[in-house]
Amino acid sequence: MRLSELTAKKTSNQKILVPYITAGITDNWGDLVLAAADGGADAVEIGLPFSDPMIDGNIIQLAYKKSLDAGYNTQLILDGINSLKDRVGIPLIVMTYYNLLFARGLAKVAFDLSTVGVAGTIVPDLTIEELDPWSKESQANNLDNVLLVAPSTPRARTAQIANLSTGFIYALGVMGTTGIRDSLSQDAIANVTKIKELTDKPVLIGVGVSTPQQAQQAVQYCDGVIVGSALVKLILDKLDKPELPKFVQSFVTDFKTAIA
Amino acid sequence: MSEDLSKYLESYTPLLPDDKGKFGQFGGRFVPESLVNACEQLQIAFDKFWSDPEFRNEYLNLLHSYGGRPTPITFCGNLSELLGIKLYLKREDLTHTGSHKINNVVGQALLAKRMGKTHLIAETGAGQHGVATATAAALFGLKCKVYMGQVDAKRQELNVFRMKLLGSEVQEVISGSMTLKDAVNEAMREWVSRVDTTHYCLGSVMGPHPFPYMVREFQSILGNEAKIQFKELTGDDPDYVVACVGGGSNAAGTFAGFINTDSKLVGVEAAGGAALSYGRTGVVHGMTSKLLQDETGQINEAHSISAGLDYPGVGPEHAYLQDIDRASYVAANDEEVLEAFLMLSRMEGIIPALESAHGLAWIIRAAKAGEIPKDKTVLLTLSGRGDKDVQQVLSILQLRKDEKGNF
Ligand SMILES: Cc1ncc(COP(=O)(O)O)c(C=O)c1O
Repeated sequence: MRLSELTAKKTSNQKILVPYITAGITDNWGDLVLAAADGGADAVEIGLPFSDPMIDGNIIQLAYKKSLDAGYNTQLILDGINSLKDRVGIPLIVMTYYNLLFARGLAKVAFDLSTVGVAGTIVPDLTIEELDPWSKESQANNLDNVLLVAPSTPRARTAQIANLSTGFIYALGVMGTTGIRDSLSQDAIANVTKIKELTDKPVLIGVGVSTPQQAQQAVQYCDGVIVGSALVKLILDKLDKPELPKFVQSFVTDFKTAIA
Repeated sequence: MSEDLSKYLESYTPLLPDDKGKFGQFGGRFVPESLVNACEQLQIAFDKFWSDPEFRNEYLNLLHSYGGRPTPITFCGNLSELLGIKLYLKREDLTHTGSHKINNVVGQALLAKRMGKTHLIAETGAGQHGVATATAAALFGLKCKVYMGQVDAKRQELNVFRMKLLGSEVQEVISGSMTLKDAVNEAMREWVSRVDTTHYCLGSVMGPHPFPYMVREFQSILGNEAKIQFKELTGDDPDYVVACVGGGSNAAGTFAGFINTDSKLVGVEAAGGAALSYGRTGVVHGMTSKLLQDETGQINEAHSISAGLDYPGVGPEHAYLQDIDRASYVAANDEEVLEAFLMLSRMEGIIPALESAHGLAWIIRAAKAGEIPKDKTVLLTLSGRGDKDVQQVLSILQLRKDEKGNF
């Protein structure tokens, strides 16, 4: 299942919500993915933990550490995704740093991701100059390749990225790391405005969208949002609560209602 | 000096990365999109100023009048006799701030100034690069913040104090393994959010393009000086050119001077951080290189007696030089490094940095084993002085004092 259904939603003017969850943050992380789907997510971004996450702030760093300390690795997470495949009903996108793909072998990991039902990947440390090898394997295995555009990305380069990105375009909402922000930044609005002038593909703001109000504001300028640190913080705060999946579900529903 | 300078400029034919910043398959630019523009701007500025004679002169004059260059080459008579070789040291320990790091930071601070930046940030392991950056920041009137893993900050307390004395802020890093690799991550994260005002003064030949190339160029003065001096002194090039390798900047700068000679180039890593000896190709900190990592691609921690070599990766140019067999890379363990540290102190009256003692440790082992044949000339870059390490060495030696209190 590729991300084409997101394009269909964009075309029919529905706003898109993609919550982010770190795989292995807790042993029932799979239930949290299902809860996000039940809450109204249009797709879920699943983070594979890396020891040296350059673009991530404190909250997601902590989630990665929990997952790695608990012994999660690429294989275990692939197995977990495989068990969700027939139940989740929405596309799953894997976000990870390039070295994890490189270490498993690009051809093998692309095949494995596709086999467990993943729709596409986001690899934040892979720039368009270095994209070719992964792009080839993604295409061969029917995986979308979601690329990032930063507020600092010049127009001409933005056009190149928009052209190469498949599924949607990930517009970074801040010049900075993942983390919770008090307000939606002017950078975010300027960034999506720049991108939307150059492409018809769906454009989602990620990083720096922390509340339903911010999400509502964001979708006035773009097609949807990715919500990461705010959700991960909620999960970290309520890890030992049996109702955690319910919390995740209603968190997602609140965002979904706000952008509808 | 001016005659030396012109020789330096004439004789140097650098190894250039390709248009993606790669040396063979190594290097490149693997960064979040939010850093691409900053890297490109830096590359453009560096290319422009590095070919500008006025910039070069200012840089070289500063290294002369402020940094204490040129540093001498010292023949080690006593050790040479003992080992049956001819051992020479290129004395970076005699520079201002006590290590080769000054060559790089003067260049980058000057560049930052030309680019209109008002702040420097840096990562540091042993603290030498942090001290050097804080020094350059003070000289150029730039604000400075240095990221240092908490574990390293404890090991190198004196350097933390030095940085503060120089007016710099020191940010202890408590993420990951709390050592150099995590300080790099943290500095990168900070750079993303402050690119407009801030230059990231990276301390070694690592990171995304143009850093490995740019830092190598700023350190090439070391090798180019040494080549000229060695020829004047002996009439020939050295048979062996040896340097320690953490990220690899003193080695890269040294090798740059001898890359087009017949000298054998040897880089010495710490056994507990030997990316070139034991690592696999991978991507971290913005570059493709040899890395210590597990089979799933998680980066391992490095462990050695010297904080400055505790880095699980290595500069991409070294991975390339190893790949094409132009340089070889070996590892030295803590025990033999400590012996080398003591030998140089006692036999030559020079207390080396523990990092530099790795180079000597290999030379001693190789000379004794006949791996370096008799009477061969060996040039070792003594990358820094050992003042910063005496406290740590003392605490190790305490454990093996005899009844008279002698080590
Ligand atoms: C004296 C000295 N030598 C060597 C190094 C290692 O760095 P590099 O391999 O970049 O020369 C350090 C780093 O802190 C150092 O302080």
